[in-house]
Amino acid sequence: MEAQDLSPEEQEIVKRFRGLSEAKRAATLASENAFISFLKSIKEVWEKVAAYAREIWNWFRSIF
Amino acid sequence: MFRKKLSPEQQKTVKHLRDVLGNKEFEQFQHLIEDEMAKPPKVAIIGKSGGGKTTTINALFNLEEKVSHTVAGTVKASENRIQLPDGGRLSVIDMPGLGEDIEIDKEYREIYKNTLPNVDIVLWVIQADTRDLKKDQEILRDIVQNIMGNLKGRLVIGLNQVDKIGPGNWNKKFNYPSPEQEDNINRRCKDIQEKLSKSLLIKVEQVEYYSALKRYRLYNLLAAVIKASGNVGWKFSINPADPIELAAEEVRDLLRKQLDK
Repeated sequence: MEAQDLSPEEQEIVKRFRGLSEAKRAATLASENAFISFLKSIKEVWEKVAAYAREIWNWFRSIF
Repeated sequence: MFRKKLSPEQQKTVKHLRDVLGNKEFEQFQHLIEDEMAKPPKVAIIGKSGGGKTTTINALFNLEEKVSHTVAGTVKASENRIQLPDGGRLSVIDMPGLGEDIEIDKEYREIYKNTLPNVDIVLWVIQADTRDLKKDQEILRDIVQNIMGNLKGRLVIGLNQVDKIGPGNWNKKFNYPSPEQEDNINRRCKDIQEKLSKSLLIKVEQVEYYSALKRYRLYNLLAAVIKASGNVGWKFSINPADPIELAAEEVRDLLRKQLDK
């Protein structure tokens, strides 16, 4: 089914559906920030890895 | 610790870490992550029977529909450890409901006092179209002020079953509210968010609205749960049940394309 086959109301629904992507990004960012907060709580590690925190997060997410 | 084979880029990150920390400290860091992952986040779930506590947990973490993690008419706090589909774990503590009988409530308040300080997040599920919001508010205020105290940042209020809010109808073909219904849902629920936030002195973002049954706005609820969990929020999997699976087959591809935009 293509967008032009839809009624105006259905097209509006499809447009609003894009909000799902934004919400997913917000949840992922919240998780990343929580992980960085956790790393910051381990001072001896944080001092050394602060510059790579987001890399570590991406790695962590991919292995679990 | 490595359940999957690492890509070249991931191997580079691991090497980077080893170089920065040193081998010994890298091993310690790994053990630390493993130890943390072995402690599942604890979610206390509260709400009236029929309000959708089980459906909410199942939808949030994409669990099998038939698995109930809450006990109907529970009179004590019962803990249920759950293995998540992506390999993580979760502990769900089903709390007895308040507001039914004053004498029973006294006993239950003790259970709340003993349990809530030891959980990572308290998820209170209310029906969004409730006519009893005032009563729910009174109970919530009592719990938040007298039991949670300075832990109230760990509370998330879930306004469930928004698919029942009218006027307007749920569009079954797209598994999404009609524009008229969604506008009413937003208006009604934002009003409740403001009221609860002011009355309980919590942040507006601690009140989220959704439909567990229709898998609507689950990422919004999940984000609220993660933020309220503080330093353990990263342990929650970000894999709620997919609403597109409930849409008609002929529109699924069209909806998935919207997610790439």
